[in-house]
Amino acid sequence: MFFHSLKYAFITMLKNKTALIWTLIFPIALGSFMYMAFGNIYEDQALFTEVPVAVVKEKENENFEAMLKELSKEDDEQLLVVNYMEADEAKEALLDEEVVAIINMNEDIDLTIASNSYKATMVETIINEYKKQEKVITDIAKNHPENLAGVIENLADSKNFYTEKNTSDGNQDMMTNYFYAIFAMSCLFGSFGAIEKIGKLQGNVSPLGMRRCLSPNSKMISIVAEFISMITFQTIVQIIALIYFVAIGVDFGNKYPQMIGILFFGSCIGIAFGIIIGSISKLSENTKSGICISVSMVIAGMADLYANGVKDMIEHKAPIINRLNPAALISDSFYALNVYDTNERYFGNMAILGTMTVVLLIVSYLMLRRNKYASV
Amino acid sequence: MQVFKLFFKVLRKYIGSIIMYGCIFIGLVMGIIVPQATKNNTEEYTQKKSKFAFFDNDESKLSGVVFDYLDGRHKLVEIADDEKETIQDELYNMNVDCVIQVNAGFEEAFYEGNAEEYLEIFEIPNGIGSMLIKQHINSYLTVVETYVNAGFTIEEAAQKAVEASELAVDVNFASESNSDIKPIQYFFTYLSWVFIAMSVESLSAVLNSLSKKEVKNRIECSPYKFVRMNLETILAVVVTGIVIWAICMGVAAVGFPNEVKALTFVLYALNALCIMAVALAMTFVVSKLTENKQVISLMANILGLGMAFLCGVFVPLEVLSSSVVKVAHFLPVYWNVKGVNLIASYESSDFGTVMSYMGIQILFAVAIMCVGMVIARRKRGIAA
Repeated sequence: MFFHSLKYAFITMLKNKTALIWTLIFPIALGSFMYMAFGNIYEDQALFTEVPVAVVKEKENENFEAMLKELSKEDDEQLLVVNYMEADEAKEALLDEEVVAIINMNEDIDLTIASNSYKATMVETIINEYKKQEKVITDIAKNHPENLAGVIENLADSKNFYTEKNTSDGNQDMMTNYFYAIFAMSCLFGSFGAIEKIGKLQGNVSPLGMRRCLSPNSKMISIVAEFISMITFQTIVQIIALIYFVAIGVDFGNKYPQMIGILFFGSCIGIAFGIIIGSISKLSENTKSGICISVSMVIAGMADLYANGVKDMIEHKAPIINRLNPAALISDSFYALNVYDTNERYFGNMAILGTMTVVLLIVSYLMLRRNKYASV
Repeated sequence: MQVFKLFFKVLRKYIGSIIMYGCIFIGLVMGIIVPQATKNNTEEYTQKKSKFAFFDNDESKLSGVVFDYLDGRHKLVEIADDEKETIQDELYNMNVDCVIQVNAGFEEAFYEGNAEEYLEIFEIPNGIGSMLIKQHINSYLTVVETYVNAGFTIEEAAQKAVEASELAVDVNFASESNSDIKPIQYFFTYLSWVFIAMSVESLSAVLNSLSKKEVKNRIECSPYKFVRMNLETILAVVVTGIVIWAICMGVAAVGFPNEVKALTFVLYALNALCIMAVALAMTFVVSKLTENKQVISLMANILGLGMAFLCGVFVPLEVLSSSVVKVAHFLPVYWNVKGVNLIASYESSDFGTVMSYMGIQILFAVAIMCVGMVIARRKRGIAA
C-alpha cells in the first residue's frame, strides 16, 4: 500500500509542472540577480589593492621621492601607484576617482583626498611615516649623535614585527551569505507544496481529501509517501540550483556531499513546516499560505537575505534564536562547511534540523490521525 | 460600479493576510533592515579606523605600549575569547578587521630582534583594514626599536614614538561632499521592494478571485462591457494601492518625525506613490499570468528581490558594476532609487530631474498595465 501511495504522490508532483518550474526558477533567478549585483564588491571594498596617487611636485625633495619610488616598486610589497601630474590635472583625476589622493610637494608635504577611506588613510600614514623618520633622526642626532649611523640603517631596514595568521582557507567573502540565504528561503518555500498536498488528505479541505478519508489507508502511510515524494523533488531542485551557482562562479567550497546533506535537511524542514501548518484544519488555505510565506520571509531575513549582518547581530544578542531558526541553521551550515576544516558545527546544525523535522512530522501525524468529519 | 464594489467585498476576505504582510514587511524594514543598513553604512564606508581585538599573554611594558598606541589610533572591539572559531566568525562578519595576539616572551624577543614570532595577527588575507593596522604596528615598533638601540629606555622610546606618530600631514578634502546615507533614505529605498512584493503577494489573490470562471461568466453575461469591467477593477486596485501607500507614509511620518515638515518628505512620498503604481501594474499582470498561489509567491519574490538587488535597493548604486547599472536602466525600481538618492541631497534646481524620474516610473506602470490588458484580452479570447 505504501508503494502505491508513493507512486501516486510522485505522479501528482510531476503533473504540477508550473509549480516545479517556478520552484527551480526562484533560486536560479534570484541567485543570478545577486551574482550580477555583487560582482567584485568584496574585492573592491574589503581587500587591499595598490593605491593610485597623484604627486604634484612644486619643490624638490629627494628623500621623499626616493621613498615613493621604493613604495611603488612593482613587487609583492608594492603599496602605491605613483603618477606625477600638474595641479589641475591631479584635481581632475581625483574627482574622477582615478587616484585616491593628491600628494602636494611644496614647502611642506600635504595631502588632498576626495573622501575618507582606508586607502586615503594608508597614504596619510605613509607621509606621516616619512615625517616621523625625519623627527627620529633629528632627535637622535641631538641626544645620541654617536648612534646616528646605526639609526639610519635601522630605519631604512623595513622589518616585520608580526606574523600573519589565517583562520581558514575557505571563502571569506561575506557577500556569499546572501547565496546561503537564498538556499534557506528556497528550502523553506517547499512548505507551499506541502500545504497543498496535506489539503488533499483532509476531508474538510478538498474533495480529494474526502475521497481519501473514506479509504482504509493509514494516514501515516499517506503522510510519509507525500513527504518522500516532496523531499525528493525539492532536494533535486536545490541540487540543480547549487550546480548552477557553482557554474557561474559562486565559491561554496568543495564539500559537495555535505552540501547536498544541507539541502536535504533544509528541504525536510521546509516541507515538515508546510505539513504542520497544512494540518491545522481550521485555517483557510489562504491563511495557511500566508503563514508559510510570512514565516519564511521573516526567518530568511533573519538569516541575512535582505541585509548582511542581521544574523550576526542576533548571534551576539540572542544566539538561541539562531540555533532555532531553520534558515539561520541552513545558512550557518554552508558557512561552516566553507570555512572550517572540521565538521563539528555542520553536524550540530544538521542534528537540530533533523530533530525539528521529526518533531514537526510527529505532531502533524497526531493532528491528522483519526479526524472525524460529521459534515463537510 | 458593481465590479468595483465586488473587489472590495472579496478584499474584505483577504484583509487579514494583507494586514499580516503589511506588518511583516514594515516590521522587517523599520525593525531590522534600516538599523542594520545604517550601521553598515557608517562603519564600512566612512570609517578610517580599523577594528581590532587584542589578547595580551605577555603583559609586558612593550605589549602595553603597543596596545595603548593601537587603542588611540583604532577601534578596540571586545570579542568573547581567542578560540580559533570565535576569531574566524568575528573576522568573517567584519566585526573586527584583525585579532592581535601577543604571546608570552614578546618583549624579550623584541630585544633579541625576533619579535615577529610572538606577535600574531589573525586576519582575512589581504584585508584592507588589517593592512592599515599592520602598517601602523611596523611603523611604531621600528621607531621604538630605533630609540632603544640608540640608548633610550623602553618607556622613553615608547613616549618618543608616540610623539613622533603625532606628527601629521595636513589633509584637505577636494570637495565638501557627504556620502552618508540617511535612515529615511533607506526607508524609502526599501519601500520599492516592500510595495512590489506585498502588492503582488496579497492583491493577486483578490484579482484571481474575480477571474474565477463562475464569477467571470456571471459578469460577462451581464450588459457590462469588457473595458468597463477592467477599468473598474483597475480603479479598485488603485484605491487599495493608495490606502496602502498612505499607511506607509504614516509609518514614515511616525518613524522620522524630523523630516515630515520638509518639502523633501512630499517628494519622497510622491516618488513612493509612483513605484506603488508600478507595483500595482505588476500585480495586475501576475494575476493574469497564473492562478497558482505558490507560483504567485515565487514571482512576487523574484520580482521584488530581483529588482532590489539589481537596482540599488539592497546594494548602493555607486558600488554596483557599470554593466549592472546599464541593465537596471530598463527597470522601474532603478528610477525610484535614483529619485530617492536625488531627493536626499535635494536642491531646488533638482526639481525637474526628480519629476522626470517619477514620470519614467509612471510610464513603466502604464506600459506594464498595457501588457496586462493584452494578456487579459488574449486569455479571454482563448477562453471564449
